[in-house]
Amino acid sequence: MNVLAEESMNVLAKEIEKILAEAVGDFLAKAILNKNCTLLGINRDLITPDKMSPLLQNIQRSVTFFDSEETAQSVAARMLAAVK
Amino acid sequence: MKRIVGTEMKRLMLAVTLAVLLLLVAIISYFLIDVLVTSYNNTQDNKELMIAQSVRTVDNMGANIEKMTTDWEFIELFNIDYIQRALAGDMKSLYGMIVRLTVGIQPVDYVAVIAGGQIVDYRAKDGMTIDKASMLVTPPEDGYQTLDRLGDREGFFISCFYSVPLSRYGFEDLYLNIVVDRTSELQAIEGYFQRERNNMLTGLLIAGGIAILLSILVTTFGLRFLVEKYIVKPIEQLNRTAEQISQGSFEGEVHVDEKSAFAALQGLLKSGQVIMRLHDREIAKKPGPGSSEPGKDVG
Repeated sequence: MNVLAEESMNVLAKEIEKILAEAVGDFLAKAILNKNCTLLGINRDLITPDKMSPLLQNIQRSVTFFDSEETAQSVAARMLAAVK
Repeated sequence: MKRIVGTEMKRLMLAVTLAVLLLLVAIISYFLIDVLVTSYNNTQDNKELMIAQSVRTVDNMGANIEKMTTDWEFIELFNIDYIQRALAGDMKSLYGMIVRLTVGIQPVDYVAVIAGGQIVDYRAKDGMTIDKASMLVTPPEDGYQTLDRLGDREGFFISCFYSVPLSRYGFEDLYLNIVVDRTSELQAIEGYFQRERNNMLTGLLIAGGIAILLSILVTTFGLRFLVEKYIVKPIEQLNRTAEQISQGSFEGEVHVDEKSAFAALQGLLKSGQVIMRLHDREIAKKPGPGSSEPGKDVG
């Protein structure tokens, strides 16, 4: 990812990626966010709280796939808190 | 994509350039010292050769003088008065004849007749002032010595002693001290080797300068090209593939070259690609009836 794209990423996307990275690492955090945004037709740089529900659901499934249900729930909870 | 190996490459190029420069400087220094030492040794060898030849020449002169002053075949050619005076015990006439003969017909700059440890007669080339007290009266260990001054003249002189055994004729034994000027010969030898040395040093410095410039060019551009081709590009390719896999935009298969130094990383990326595909398939499935809404199970 180039620097400009990284800078233009909105605060919410950054926060999601940060929470994800703490749980599954940088590489998977990016991959999970990118893939789920693509699947849901969301521009990752334009994520807004109203688009968060389906995204969070998918992210939770991804984290469950890569780690565990517990980690997925913890991540989802932190993301919800971040949205509020 | 931002190049992440720039710093490493700069350091590598700097290290290789410095190593090559150091090697070149060491080689050039070795040859510089070799030229200086060889030139000095050649000068000394030729100087010693010139001295040895001069000593031989002076010995021959001494032998000629001895023959002229002791062999009747030659003596009878001279003024008989001198001979009679010498035979009557007037040795000064004999000494005078010897010094005049020597300086007059031999290419010498100074001659002294030494009898009983004293200079009994001497003569120098016209225009040369000699203080006889400053001259040796006994032969040096090697039979000769080099002087950097003769009378009022500075230069390079070879002073030889030649024994004239006159006791067999009833006279006192003599020494001839003959000094020849070899300043111009020494200057020629030193000048020749100095020119040779300067030419070699100039050539060596020019060649060294060109070698240093070429090495900088080769290490700067050549090494940069090779490192880019064989190290930077494969790493950039791996980085690009990793970015594309994480973004979900990678298409095709990650190729693993078992002979490559990056085979392990390529294998890791391939595994990542497989896992991401499994993940994508899993996520693409509709959520099951038992799956929880985000946030509902939390808090």
